Amino acid sequence: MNTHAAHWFPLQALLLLAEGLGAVFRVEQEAGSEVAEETEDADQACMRQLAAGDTSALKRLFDRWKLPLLNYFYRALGNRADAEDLALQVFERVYRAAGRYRPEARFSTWLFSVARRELLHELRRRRRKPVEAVPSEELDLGAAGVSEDEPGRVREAEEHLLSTLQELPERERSALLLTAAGELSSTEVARTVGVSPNHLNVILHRARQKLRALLDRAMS
Amino acid sequence: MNTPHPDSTPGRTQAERQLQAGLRSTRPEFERRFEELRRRLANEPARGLGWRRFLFLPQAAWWRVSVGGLAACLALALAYGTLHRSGVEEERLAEYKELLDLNAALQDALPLTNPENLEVLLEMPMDRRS
Repeated sequence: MNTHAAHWFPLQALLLLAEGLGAVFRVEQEAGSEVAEETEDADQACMRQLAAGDTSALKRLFDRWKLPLLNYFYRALGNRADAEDLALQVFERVYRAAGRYRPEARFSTWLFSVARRELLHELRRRRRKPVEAVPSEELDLGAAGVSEDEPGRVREAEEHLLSTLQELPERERSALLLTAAGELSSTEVARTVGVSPNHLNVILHRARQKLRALLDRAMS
Repeated sequence: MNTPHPDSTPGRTQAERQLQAGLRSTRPEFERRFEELRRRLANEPARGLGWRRFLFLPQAAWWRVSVGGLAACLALALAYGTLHRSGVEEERLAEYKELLDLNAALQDALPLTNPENLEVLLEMPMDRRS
């Protein structure tokens, strides 16, 4: 009886632990989705206010989305000044489209679809420019787990990354950047780049392979 | 062969990790340009509802009066035009009354002008007594 209890106890403890971890994970997940829902509600409310002509709502959207948009454009174009121009164009488009906006998808999906259209337009319009990496202190390296000890090396890696990204086709580049930014779920990224979620996985796999090959070539 | 594994290339892995690292903040110049854009958009005339907004804006009461007056004038003009036109038609009918009566009287004889009937009619023997 005692032996059976001795075997039973660790198993039970493990199950309880797993259940506890699962509960914690579920609570965290629910908290995360609640935050996302709150942000979504706030964005939709801003769009309604914008439709009524309240430009202070545009400021709130700007504060929430300026960095995600700037990061997307900066890496997609390889240039901060061009990224700023495009980000401002997107906010102007958002303002002008507010009256016609219908919340059929999440606001972020719609916003990045607008951003991607602007990017495509810009890529068709302009000639390819040399990339201009920002100084390492302007990048949030801590969040990415990159050491900030060697600023020169960080900047060099950034230049390689920007040049390499320019070699990728736009759809692969956008899929990779939107996924890496973590602002959108994979379903939302798929919708933004206009493919099915399964096709997105194929695109991402291909993009990562190309990125690695191109980075290897750039480093050698 | 001491070829390093591709994943161990330090520069490449650093660059790949750097993909996750976004810009830390925006530049003051960018913020200033956004404020300019916002002011410009705020000063643009109202948009979205098109002509319908004039019907709903409370401060545009004079617009509603003007639009109402214009509609009333248009209705009057249309009514006058319709009445005037019917009077003219009556005058014209009186002028051509004689011709129209003649046309009505000769209406029954129209089949006689048909070429076949006309030929038969011309070849009919004439009887002086009739």
